[in-house]
Amino acid sequence: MSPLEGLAYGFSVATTPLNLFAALLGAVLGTVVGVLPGIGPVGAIALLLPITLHLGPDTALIMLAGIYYGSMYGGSTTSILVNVPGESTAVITAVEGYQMAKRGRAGAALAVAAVGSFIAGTLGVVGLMLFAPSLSDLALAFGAPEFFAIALLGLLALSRVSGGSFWQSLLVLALGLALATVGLDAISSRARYTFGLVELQQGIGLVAVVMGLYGIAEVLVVAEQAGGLPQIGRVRFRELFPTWAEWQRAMPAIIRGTGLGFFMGLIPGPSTIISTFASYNLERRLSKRREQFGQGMIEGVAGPESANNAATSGAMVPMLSLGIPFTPATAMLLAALLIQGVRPGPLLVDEYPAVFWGLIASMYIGNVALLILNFPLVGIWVSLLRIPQAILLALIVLFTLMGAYSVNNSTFDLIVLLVAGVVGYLFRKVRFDAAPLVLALVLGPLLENTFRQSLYMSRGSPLIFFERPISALILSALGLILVGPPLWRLVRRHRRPLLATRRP
Amino acid sequence: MRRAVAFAGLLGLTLGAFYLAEGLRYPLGTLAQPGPGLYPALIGALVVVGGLGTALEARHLPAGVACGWPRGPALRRVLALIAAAFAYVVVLPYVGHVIAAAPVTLTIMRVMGLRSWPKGMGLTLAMALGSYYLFAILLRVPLPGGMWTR
Repeated sequence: MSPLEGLAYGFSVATTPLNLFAALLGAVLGTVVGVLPGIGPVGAIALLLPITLHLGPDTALIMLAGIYYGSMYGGSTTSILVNVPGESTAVITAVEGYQMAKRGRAGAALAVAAVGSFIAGTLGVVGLMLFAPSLSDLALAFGAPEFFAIALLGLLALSRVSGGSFWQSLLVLALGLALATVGLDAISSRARYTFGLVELQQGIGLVAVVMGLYGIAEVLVVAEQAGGLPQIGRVRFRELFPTWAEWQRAMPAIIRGTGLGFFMGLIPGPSTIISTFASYNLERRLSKRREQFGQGMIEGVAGPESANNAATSGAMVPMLSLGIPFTPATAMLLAALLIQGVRPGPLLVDEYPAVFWGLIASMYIGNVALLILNFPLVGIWVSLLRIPQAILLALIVLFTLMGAYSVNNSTFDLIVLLVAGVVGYLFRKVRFDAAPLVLALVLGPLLENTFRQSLYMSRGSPLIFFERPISALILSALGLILVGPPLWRLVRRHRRPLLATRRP
Repeated sequence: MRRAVAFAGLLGLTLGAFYLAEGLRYPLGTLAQPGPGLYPALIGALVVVGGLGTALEARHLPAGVACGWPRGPALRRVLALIAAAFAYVVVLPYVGHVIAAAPVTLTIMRVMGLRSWPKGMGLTLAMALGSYYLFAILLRVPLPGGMWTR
């Protein structure tokens, strides 16, 4: 199926009343999640995942993906208006956006953020549409060693680039891999680490763990702070139009942010966040008014807001075409498909064209809906911030508890949820990133199975990972990512005293 | 912060050692035919290394950075929320969702500053019944009915 034929088929899937409703619901929920500080897209996807068990795989993915990319739109609103990023991806938007709002240009900042998100979202889907099938074709030649190398790259590269300390990330990652071994061994069917509990034989519930780490933990943090409601100014519709000069400055930043964001989405790591910082730095470097950054530069809103939207599309490429997620949000999308019996990977486009092309088409529709939702209707979303925290938290906790229960109808999952919630809260306190644990829990079984299959294939020779060109290339890249930065720091540390002694 | 991170590292190390010891009870097999214990042994070693690295690295963390542990009313709010959620899990199989949900939502709203009892009771009832309607009736999730269904 050519991309155009696929897209036409995708629109026939995405425009059924149920799928159209799912795309719009996902876009609305994503915007709400983005606007409200607290529960993020990962927690929201985990919260809604049990509901999708009653839907088909195409409808489920369309709705959950809508939450993922929709949250990127909503995140900028509170950043610009009240200097409170609704999402971590909108932190950088608060720098320039809030300064613009203070100068009376809130409407222009909101409009550029929404239009930039729309352009990046739409172009990102074009990239996804063209890249994913090509990567799938390439991945058909992959065997166990290649998949092992990619999974290892995804996990270890995340621990290198996720921002915290390498050792802390490694510890969290290893704990996630350890948790993933709980249950029946896929090859020998032997029960491992179950301690006689029948509930542990199926393994630790991913949804419960993610809801705990991202939902309950966030609720505990909000409950601890219990701040008052932010003061929100009014934004009139006629103020939502940037001047011609502002458009001229914003458009190149939007295009640059889109390209940068999409390609950063393809590589392992928290791409939606990193791409915003990379885009902001790029705009500052390219600007002739570099010194004015931090005082309300429209490029500093346009670039990062476009980058995080494009990164969501980029991040879906490895998840859909290899079945390997590089971010917690795409890991949840993968989990949603696995629960439905659909295994993403090289055969997804051929075996489940309705899922793949339906998602692509729905993302075009979703991005148009999000532009309408976030541009003229911005005032409605801002008013969500006026909901009392007491009611909001009670609702989130109740729905989290019921959502976790409904996956397996198990009270044991509720215990897992609450323990994960407390652990997630403690992680926040000691500044540990939970993302490596989630990815390890998802990729752990794949890593173990491909590792053991590779050893079976090579009759016990670990050299198989280096004898096959693709896995050797991936592992070399991984080695570079792991060893490169500390080696570079070492070289710089030794060069400095050397240069100091040479100076007269 | 230094002490908390060092403690987290040592806790990780202990968990890793326990995991490794437990994993060594499963057959390791050979490299040509790896058993169910080989991979856990490698992962256990990785947890131990990660824990040790974290604990040692804690010494080099900047001094004076606090974890910001909650105290006073903030601590009470966090503990009340955890206790309310655990209470839901404990009583759910015995009393069913609607009755188990009521104290949780009411406790959370009260500790988060909702002062009016009638408003709190009304909202609690609406949330408990509304969530029951959504999950049990619309989504057909078999929620435990507790002693009322026995």
